Amino acid sequence: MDVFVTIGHAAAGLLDISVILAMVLGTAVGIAVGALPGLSATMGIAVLIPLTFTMEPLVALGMIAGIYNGSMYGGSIPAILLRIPGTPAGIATVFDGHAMAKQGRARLALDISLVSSSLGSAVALLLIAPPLALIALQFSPANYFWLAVFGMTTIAVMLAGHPAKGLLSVAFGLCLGLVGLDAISGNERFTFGVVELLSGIHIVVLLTGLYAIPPAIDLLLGQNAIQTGTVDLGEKSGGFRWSRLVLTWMRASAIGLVVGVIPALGGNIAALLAWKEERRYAKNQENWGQGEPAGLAAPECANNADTAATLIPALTLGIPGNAVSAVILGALLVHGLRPGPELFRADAEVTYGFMLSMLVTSGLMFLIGKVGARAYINVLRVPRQLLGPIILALTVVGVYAIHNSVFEVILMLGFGLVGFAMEKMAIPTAPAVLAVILGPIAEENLRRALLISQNDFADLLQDPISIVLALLVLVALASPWLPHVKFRRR
Amino acid sequence: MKKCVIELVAAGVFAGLFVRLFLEAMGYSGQSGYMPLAATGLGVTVCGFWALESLRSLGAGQAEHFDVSVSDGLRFVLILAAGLIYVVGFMVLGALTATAIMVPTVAWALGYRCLKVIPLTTLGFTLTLWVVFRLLLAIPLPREAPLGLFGV
Repeated sequence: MDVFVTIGHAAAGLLDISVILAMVLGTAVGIAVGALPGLSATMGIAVLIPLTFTMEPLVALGMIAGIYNGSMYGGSIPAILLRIPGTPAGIATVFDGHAMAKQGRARLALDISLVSSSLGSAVALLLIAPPLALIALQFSPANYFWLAVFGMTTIAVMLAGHPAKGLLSVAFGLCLGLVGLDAISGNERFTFGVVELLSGIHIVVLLTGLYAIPPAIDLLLGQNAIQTGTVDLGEKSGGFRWSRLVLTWMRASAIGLVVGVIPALGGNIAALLAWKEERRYAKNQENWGQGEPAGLAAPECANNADTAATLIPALTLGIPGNAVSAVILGALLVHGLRPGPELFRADAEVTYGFMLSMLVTSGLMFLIGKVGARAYINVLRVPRQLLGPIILALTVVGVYAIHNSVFEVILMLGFGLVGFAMEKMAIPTAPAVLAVILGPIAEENLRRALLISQNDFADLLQDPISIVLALLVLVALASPWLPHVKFRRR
Repeated sequence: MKKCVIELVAAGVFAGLFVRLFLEAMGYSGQSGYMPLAATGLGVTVCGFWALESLRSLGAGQAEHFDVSVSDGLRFVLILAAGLIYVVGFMVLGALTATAIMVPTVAWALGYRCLKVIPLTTLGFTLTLWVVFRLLLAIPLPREAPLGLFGV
């Protein structure tokens, strides 16, 4: 019952004019960021986090929820109109969405994408996250240690083409997370006498560097240049039978939810899986890829369901499943909220407020997307030569605003160059960010577990949950080689 | 240049960095050193695997190339220089003045020539920065030097 009272209070908080404005602005900006090929939700949130520093937590998180949801839909605009997925999750949208646009049904395609995106909602987040947090409250320090190690391992192995590159990214992130004073012993670690590093590396400095600078460099180098030409939206979508998509939406939402909860899979896998599954059910399989409306609805719905579901492990366990949820975790940390089961007890109102804002911004996305359709198409025409320096200026001013520190600005630009080099060498940056967040959690719980067991490492594998998690770590590490294992038949 | 050669060099550089950090971590006492040793040890190990993989590709005659044209290289240097000059200008001239100079200069240097859009976008963006950071968020940005000329 308490939960409903808290949700009620949180809902009342959303009625504040500043929260409403933040959600509207966030959603509008999110759609624009998602619509620009090469830019992503991760980048949009990373750039805008510094702007939210001085805001009330709910206002800031409302804006972030808007950017997150909006950019997921925004990615479908260039996918449908130009055959260029704005985000990786937009790949499956291209199949039928662009075919519809070529047939003169671009407006209908955009409407289907918008409605489907709005429906793949955050309801699951509200329903699943609180009970999961209650279960997580029972976890011991050893369980938490293994959970953090499992989170890092799966992302490292699954996101990288080569496991060594993923683990290298994890090692890099772990080292960055250790910079500064050790909270328990007070020892300086990896500071090399630099006073500015004593308080550690601010997560936003790293996030902005790794996620905002590389796309800006790409834009300036002309690697995301697109030719928009003339875009014809075609006929209005009146007369379309929306009820035929209901089952598609339900199945796609379920797929998005399941995929989203599993670390490292991401919206692109949810979208592709939903498209394939829907085609399997379809009677007109030959129409798929040729402009079938259900073929557009399925990936869009699954992608946005995944968006909300990814936040379930992030909020309840403090284990982000992908880069964008890691960035959102960073945003929560900035506002003094420590993700994990305690979040639902210590900061319940803000936490539920954030979840509700995910739901509200889904609805806002529909309204803003519908009203501003033509304006968002024009976003595709923004010259990259202007967009690049604007992103650069925003990141510099934003990072400077954290502590009025030029050192942090230079550090951020340095991380930007490292991120750019990592991208070019196919080293994923997400594991590094996750390691920065999860490393301290792993270390804190390892030390707590060792304190309880009086330095007995064997105690880390004493209970079933720890054993299962440790086995899952081993399976994750071995997974790249598992498909090559040939089992002999007796 | 062959991609595997570049990766081999990168693996060597990263390994060197991790070895340096590992040696540093060895000096940390007690439990303070567990995680730094584990992290840097992992780094050295995976760099070893990465280097071996690159050597294997090199031995197998893998032909994947990583080519950068001269114009791309020049453009990259220009971007780096613009970034550095912008940060210096940010501190010396002020955030808004440096932005008002950097945005159109970089756009022009990269070949964008629309004389209507450049000033309008620059003005709009600089104004947005001022409204958001100074008026709404009240964040103290570096002093605008040109305003000093007018005694402001």
